[in-house]
Amino acid sequence: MIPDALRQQLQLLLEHQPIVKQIIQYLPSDLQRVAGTPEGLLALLLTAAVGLLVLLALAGTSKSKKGSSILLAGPMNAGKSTMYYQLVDGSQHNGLVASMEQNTGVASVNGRQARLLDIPGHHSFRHKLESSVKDAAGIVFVIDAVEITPHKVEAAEMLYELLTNSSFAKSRTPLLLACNKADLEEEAHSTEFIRKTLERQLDAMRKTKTAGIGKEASAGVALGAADKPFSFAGLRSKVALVECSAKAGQLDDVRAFIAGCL
Amino acid sequence: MQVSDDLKPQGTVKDSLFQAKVATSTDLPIAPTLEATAYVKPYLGLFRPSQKSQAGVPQLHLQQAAYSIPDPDSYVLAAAPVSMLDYFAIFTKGGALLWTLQFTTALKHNPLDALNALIRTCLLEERSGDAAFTYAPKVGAQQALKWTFHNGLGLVFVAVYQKTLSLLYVEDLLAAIKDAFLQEYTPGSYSYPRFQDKFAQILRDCETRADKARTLAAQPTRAAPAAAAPAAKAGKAAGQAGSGAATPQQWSSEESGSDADADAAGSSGSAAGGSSSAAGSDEEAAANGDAAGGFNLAKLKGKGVRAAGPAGRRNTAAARRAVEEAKEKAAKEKAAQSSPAKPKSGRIWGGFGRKEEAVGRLDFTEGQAPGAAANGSGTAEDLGSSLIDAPEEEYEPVDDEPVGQAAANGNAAAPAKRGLLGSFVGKLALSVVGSSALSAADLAPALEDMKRRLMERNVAEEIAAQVVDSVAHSLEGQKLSSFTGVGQFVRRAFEDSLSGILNKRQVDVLHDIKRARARGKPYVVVFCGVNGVGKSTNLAKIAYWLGQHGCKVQLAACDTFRAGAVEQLKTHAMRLGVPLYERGYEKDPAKVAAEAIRVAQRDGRDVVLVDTAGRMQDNEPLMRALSNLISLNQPELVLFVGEALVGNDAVDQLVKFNRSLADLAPGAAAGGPAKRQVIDGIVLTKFDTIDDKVGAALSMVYASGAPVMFVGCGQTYVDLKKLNVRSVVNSLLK
Repeated sequence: MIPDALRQQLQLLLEHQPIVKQIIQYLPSDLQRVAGTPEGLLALLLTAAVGLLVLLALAGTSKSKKGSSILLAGPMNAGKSTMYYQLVDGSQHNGLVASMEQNTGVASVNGRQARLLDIPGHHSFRHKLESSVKDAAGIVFVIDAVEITPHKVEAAEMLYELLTNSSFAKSRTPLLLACNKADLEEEAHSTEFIRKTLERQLDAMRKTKTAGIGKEASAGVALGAADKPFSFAGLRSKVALVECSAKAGQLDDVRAFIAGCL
Repeated sequence: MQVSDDLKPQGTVKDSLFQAKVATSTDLPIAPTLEATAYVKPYLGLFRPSQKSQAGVPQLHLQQAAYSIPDPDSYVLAAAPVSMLDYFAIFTKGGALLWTLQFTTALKHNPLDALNALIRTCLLEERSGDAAFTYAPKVGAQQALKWTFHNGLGLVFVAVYQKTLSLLYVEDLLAAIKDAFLQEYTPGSYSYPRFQDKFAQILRDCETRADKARTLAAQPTRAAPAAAAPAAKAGKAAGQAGSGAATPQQWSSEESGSDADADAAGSSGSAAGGSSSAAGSDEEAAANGDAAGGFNLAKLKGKGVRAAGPAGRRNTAAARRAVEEAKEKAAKEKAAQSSPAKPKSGRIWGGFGRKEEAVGRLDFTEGQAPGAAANGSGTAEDLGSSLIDAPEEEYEPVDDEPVGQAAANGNAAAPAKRGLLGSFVGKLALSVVGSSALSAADLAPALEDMKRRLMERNVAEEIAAQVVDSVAHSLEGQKLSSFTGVGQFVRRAFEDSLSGILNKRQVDVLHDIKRARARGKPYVVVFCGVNGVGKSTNLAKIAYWLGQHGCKVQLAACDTFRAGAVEQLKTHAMRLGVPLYERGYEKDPAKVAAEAIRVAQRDGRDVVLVDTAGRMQDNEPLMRALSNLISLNQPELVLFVGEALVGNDAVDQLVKFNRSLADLAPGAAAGGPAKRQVIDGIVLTKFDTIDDKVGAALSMVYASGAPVMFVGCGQTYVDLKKLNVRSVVNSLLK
């Protein structure tokens, strides 16, 4: 059945390798006889290999599900680190300055433990942000509701890069747009205004960025239908918009979102 | 508490309460939740006009009081020492403030603004090796900031003071405070009530030491070294790096000066037509001098400056070089005389076949009407889509064996003094156990290796030094995680910092053009750079790319100096099918550009690409003309075109171009035009001529802070790309 060359190789293996003989001795007695022959040995090796492959495949698929941490991203001065400290420690201590490196910690949210990762909004951390998206179970994108108009391009760019990230799109990570600084009531814009501003910016960006840049080898991810104007409701991933205030500690919507992601 | 006599309030208790409230409740971020009255209540009794000073009661100076984070249990308004500093802060790298002290309430702005500006524009831009940072608030005087890190625990210590005061003790203060704070620091705790007294004591010590040093320095003989003594280590290092970069330039200028004076007849005083990269002033000096052998000013000048260093070694080297150059010149002349008048056959470049075909192919003017170019009525060429639109290839990270090996060898060589067993245990402790913190000695060999590697990849020498310095500052004192070698650790840190430098905020040109179209004005792009870098060629490539995306382009020929520049653009315009606005030669470029923009607006063109003449960065009249053009026309985008072959000169070019645009603009002294124009983007050309020596990209981005927007990688219209940061970082660290 098996070719002669292979039979000869297996015979040599059986006769000259003491390890093979030792392993065969550990098998139950019925299999020992089978394993003594070249065909039996081949069959045994093949079944072992197939079993190993099946195990690997199962392990691989189980890991490709969602990650384990919640990502706090957003442009500079949005209030990400303030929100991080409020969630982890319950207060912002003596105040905060611009972050120079990421903050990681565990927050207890509605009785469950969540691992938070706060990445600074400076542009030199973009590649770190991109590499952390694949491990995120949910993303909280923090926006400054007061200064939305001067910084709308920057916020929309970061949001665009996040939405077109291939691992984000593939695993449909839930995304929360948290409009921070709602405690400044007169100056903070409403969520509707922020939604419309961002949608308009992303719509314009969609046309120019797919025209001019080829980012990933997978040719990027198209945002929504190309003919209709862009809207968050039309995306496949869940995108929600809430108001919150990290300084005053009004983070109930954010906590609910985080609890829902885990 | 005593109340000093000059502070006796005039008026009722309520007035003084109001004064106290005003003094305490300015925009202090450090007492956000405690009410000011809570402070003053216990002392209300003291504000009666009849109170006499009593012994044993502490003074309260309201005018110059400093307020620290109060201990809420005791409501004690601790009076901080009066000092020349404005503010001192200790915070973690993650952003949380641990301890702050404000010395004056006279500031109108929030002191945290200065800290945020420092972090965002200096520390995160890998300039943490600088000596100091200047912050200019919207109202008020400029402030200077100095800082130090503790990388092991991730702490930053910052001192803020008025820029006009030059305080010499700030670095000592920072180092002393760092040591003192580390004894009290516990991670997770955010209140340090007892630290203020220690701080006051250390501040007093530093100030007295500085006073003593100053009185010593007042003696005239020891003026120079005493003033230099309290200078920062960083300042010295920066000075060394600066002089290190200056001397190679002096060498190059001296050499080319002596070559130039041999054919000084042709070159005019302005170095605009020159093709060497020598400093313009040296060439002028050479032109003033006689021919070879005469009174050569450039040589003397160069020699004079070089004598500042160790004299003997350099002078003999200079003498040797002079002799060699004389010999070379003599040999060249003899060769020119003795060779027979042999007709040279044209070189055949690969791919063209026979010589006649080559000549024929290069001539594109046949069959075209001369006036067609101006109307743009020629048919546009279509060579397919520009390479900028092609998807990028994936780059696999290269394994870091070589770095690890080199660093391991370096590590093995350095601690021979510690003894073999000691060094072995030390290395184990570092890499396997990860317990001992990295010191400068451990990092030095790996950092030297990285610096040499960067310079081999054509990064400018001072940029490499600054980047290595900045990474060293952030690595010193950190602990290695288990089983990482020093080399690998350093390499990862470099990868992060280089990616951070090269990843800049990208300007989306197409998006901005659409916005400008909506406003009804054309989007103006000005190309500037030194001679021969490829401005006109890359302008044509960008015009092709924009045309492919539906933008109506207009070219403006503002290079009115170089022979053939206008014809070159006419040819490009004809082939691309875009109109060209030109006024010939010897016209004022600024006016030509202004008229071109008006014509573009009238015709409804979206983009105007303005080509300027190449000019050396040291040539002040030409730089003034360029900044005049830019400030007159207020372009939306100023692109600096630099070639990837450039070495140490990249930094000089960019810094001087930026400075000229900022300083020489008309009206700059009188408060400046509405928008301060500097270089907004870089075009890196001739990228296909370097295979992996990509360091010029890093030098240019670091020196100017502008992103690399386009990369030119060939001679045809489609050879335009975007910078692939990951591949550049991999090539630099290979």
